This record gives sequence, C-alpha cells and structure tokens, in this order.
Amino acid sequence: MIAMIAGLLINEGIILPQLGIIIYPHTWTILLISLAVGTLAGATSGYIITRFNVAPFIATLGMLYVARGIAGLLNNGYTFPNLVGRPEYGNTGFEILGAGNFLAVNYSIWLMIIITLAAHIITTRTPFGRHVYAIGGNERAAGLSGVRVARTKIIVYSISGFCAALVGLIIASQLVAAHPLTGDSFELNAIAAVVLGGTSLAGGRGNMGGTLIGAFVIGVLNDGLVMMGVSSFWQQVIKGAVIVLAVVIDQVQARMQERIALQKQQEIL
Amino acid sequence: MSHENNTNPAQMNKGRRITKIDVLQFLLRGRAFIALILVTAVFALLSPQFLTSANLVIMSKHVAINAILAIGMTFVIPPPVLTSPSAPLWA
Repeated sequence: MIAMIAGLLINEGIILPQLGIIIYPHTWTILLISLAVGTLAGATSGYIITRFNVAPFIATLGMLYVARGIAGLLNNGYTFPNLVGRPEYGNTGFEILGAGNFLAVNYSIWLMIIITLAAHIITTRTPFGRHVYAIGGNERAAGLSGVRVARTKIIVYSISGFCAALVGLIIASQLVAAHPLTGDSFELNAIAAVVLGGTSLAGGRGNMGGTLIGAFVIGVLNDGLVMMGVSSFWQQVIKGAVIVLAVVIDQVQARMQERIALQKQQEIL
Repeated sequence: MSHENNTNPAQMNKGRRITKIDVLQFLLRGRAFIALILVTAVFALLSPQFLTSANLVIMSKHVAINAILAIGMTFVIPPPVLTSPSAPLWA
C-alpha cells in the first residue's frame, strides 16, 4: 500500500498535464479526473487483494511499479513543465491549489485539516470506521460477524488512492510542473508518519490524531535535516532507522499493555 | 477504571500511587508528541532560522503533503497488511 501511494502520486502529477495539454478539459475536470484515477487505482489494488488473495504488500508494490512505469511512459520520462494552462482553453488556475491562500493559510494546509477531521469522524463515528477496525483486529471474526470484508477493504484502498492522488495534485500544483519521479520516497515518509503516530502494524489500533502528529515529526525531521545540510543519503538512513525504532517501541508498548492487563485480571480474580 | 477501583480496595491504592510503570506507559503512549517536541527543540537549538515564521510556513506545507498521504495510509495499515495470513482460511 505504501508503494501504491507513491506510484499513484507520480501517476497523478503526470496524467494531469497530459490531459491538460492534449484534450484541454477545464481545470476542475482535470482535478476530478486525477482524483478519480487515483481512487480507481486504489480500488483496483483492493480488488486484486481481496478477490485473488494477493498479499497486500505485493499487490501495492506491483501497482507502484505499474504506476511509476506509466508515469514515465506518458512523456517519455520528461517533465511536464509550466502547468499554468492557457486562457483560451479555459484550463488556467491550477497553480492556485499549491500557491493560493485562504484566510492567510495555504490551501494544502486547509486540505490537511479537512482530511484529518473527515478521517477522524469516519473512523470514530461511523459504522464503516468500526468495520475497518474490526477487520484490522481480526479479519475472520469480522467477516463472521457480518462485516462485508471485501467491500470494506476495497473502499479503504480507494480512500488511500484518493489521498495519494490529492497529494500528487498538490505537489504538481506547488511545483507548477509534473515529473515522473516526484513521488519517490514519499511512501517512506508516509509510513514513518503512520507508525510514529502509534498505528499498530499488527492491525486494529491507531488513530488519525496520532498520524497527524507523526506527519509533523517526519516533516520537521525532514526539513530540519535539510536545513542542517545533512546528506540526503544520511537522511534516508535516519528515516529508515526512525521507522524501525518506532515499530520496536510500538511492540514494547503492546507487550507491556498485555502484561498489565494480565496483572489486572489476576488481581480481580 | 474508577468503577473497578471502587469495587476493589487493593486496586484503589494502586491507582492512586503513580508507579514507575504508569510513567513509562504515559511516555510510551505520548511518544509521537514527545518525539515532535524533541526534534523541534534539537533543530531549534542547532539552527537559528528554524523557528522563524517563514520557515514554519514552509514546513507546514511539507507536513500537509505527508499528512494527507499518511492519513490515507492509516486506513490501509490497520486492516489488511499483517492479517493476511489468515485470509486463505475463509475467503
């Protein structure tokens, strides 16, 4: 899944200008098409995973390479520069997403806030959110209790694809250009943020607030290291180590909670 | 928690005293936040431009990109990743 996200990201940045240059749809149409493609790619991953029982990691990794390859094919590996559109085609204004402000705050930050809130509400207040956690906790039990596992999973992967597409759009808009390798290493950042935020890789645990804080940690770490002039290779080393460390701490905590719960049980008995 | 404490005096005492385990658990639970504070503090000390408003604005833009991706991924990670070995049993 990590992989797919980066792949889509690249895909999105690329598909978008392609459409803009050849078919010239309106800017809003371009945004919609891009998001739809991202969502569809996510849904495809989800479908392959549920229908054919492919390991999620393999399916999404495959999707990453497919998407990355397509991204390169779209313009033979070259960048789509200068995505400002032309007034006579009515496709201007794309750069506003990345550069424009609303109430002195950049649109991308508004989007982050909205998406976080929406995700929080979905996971905590809706039956769908309960189903997601249930599947994460014990897929078989969830299925036996009437959760439509396959459908829920496909929706979940679609959401992931949608978010990836949105990020692709934001980046392409900020750069006013789309390069096939834009999304390289983004999957690493995203998974680091998720793991740091306390989402259990063993499933069934995690929340959106934690992920947001995790994203802040990774963002600050990234930019701080760049500002300190640390080599990008060392940055990779550090980020990889942070991910592993976060998982180790997660496991330690899980074991400790188990022990405490056991102790409490014994005391009550 | 409080309900249990009322029914069991032994536990009530335990709940009042802050043990080492409690502190450790608190630190572990808030580890993301602690990491954020630590990382920010370190970079703020090492680089004078780090806490300027211009830099914070730029950083929050980068954070937004990571955050949206990560939120999409949070949905995906809880369910299917590691639970898949059991899937062939029933699917």
